[in-house]
Amino acid sequence: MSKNEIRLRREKLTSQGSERFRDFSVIKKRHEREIRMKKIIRIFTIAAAILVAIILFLAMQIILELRSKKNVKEPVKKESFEKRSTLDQVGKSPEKT
Amino acid sequence: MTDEEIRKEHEIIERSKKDANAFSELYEKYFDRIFNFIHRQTDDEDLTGDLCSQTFIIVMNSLPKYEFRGVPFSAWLYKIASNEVRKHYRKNKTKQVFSIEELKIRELVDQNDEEWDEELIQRMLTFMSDLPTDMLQVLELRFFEDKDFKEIAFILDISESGAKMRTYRALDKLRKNFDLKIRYNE
Repeated sequence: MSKNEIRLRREKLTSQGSERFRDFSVIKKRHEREIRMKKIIRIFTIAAAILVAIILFLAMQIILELRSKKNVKEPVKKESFEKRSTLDQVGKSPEKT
Repeated sequence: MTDEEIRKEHEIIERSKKDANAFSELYEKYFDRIFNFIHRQTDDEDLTGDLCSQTFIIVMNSLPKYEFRGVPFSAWLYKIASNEVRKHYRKNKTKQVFSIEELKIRELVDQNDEEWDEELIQRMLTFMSDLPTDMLQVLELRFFEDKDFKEIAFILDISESGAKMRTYRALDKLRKNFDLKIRYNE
């Protein structure tokens, strides 16, 4: 089976055939529409990127806030743990003291 | 193309980058050539019209990025048109059509008129249909569009030596198979 199809043209190609497709105003309109679409897409992408950045920033803020709240509670636990470990080292139970 | 013509064309391109209306001059100048180039690879007027419009829209959209690279502006148009044709065949998965003018085949082969017959032409067409697509593309650009090897290399995104090699291989095959004299030897 052949790879391509070769067709023989008896007459020369003229500009008459292409005349009905020649219209610069149509091309220009489509070009302007595509440029406008590109601009809209670019603005939309930038807006989306800014929105994502804001969401990430807010999420980070919330996480940091939650962590700092936890840190306020944690020192009490830490103190009792430290006390227990020093008593263990001495070999006394807290009840005995 | 003379240096003066290249300079003038460059001026129009620069103007077109700022004002789309200025591009109409280049559109009118190259429309027929690009249309015929695509038509030779599709043999379908409506499809050619669509691909030709698409080519010029891409050209207009990409014009701000255009830089002179040692080949005429037309080579850039041919390159975009060639890509559009390739894209069409890849998408539709159909055999690529090459519509060749009988006159061009006669020009390619140095043969006396009385030695030409329908059978020889048909045999040549059958032989050409078996040639790889890239070889046919090079032959088309070299002999039917009169492009030099530098332009062909730019249009098909290959090296200049690669373009020469493909052409000589194709011509060699024609010579050996048909025992014909090929007019183009350079």
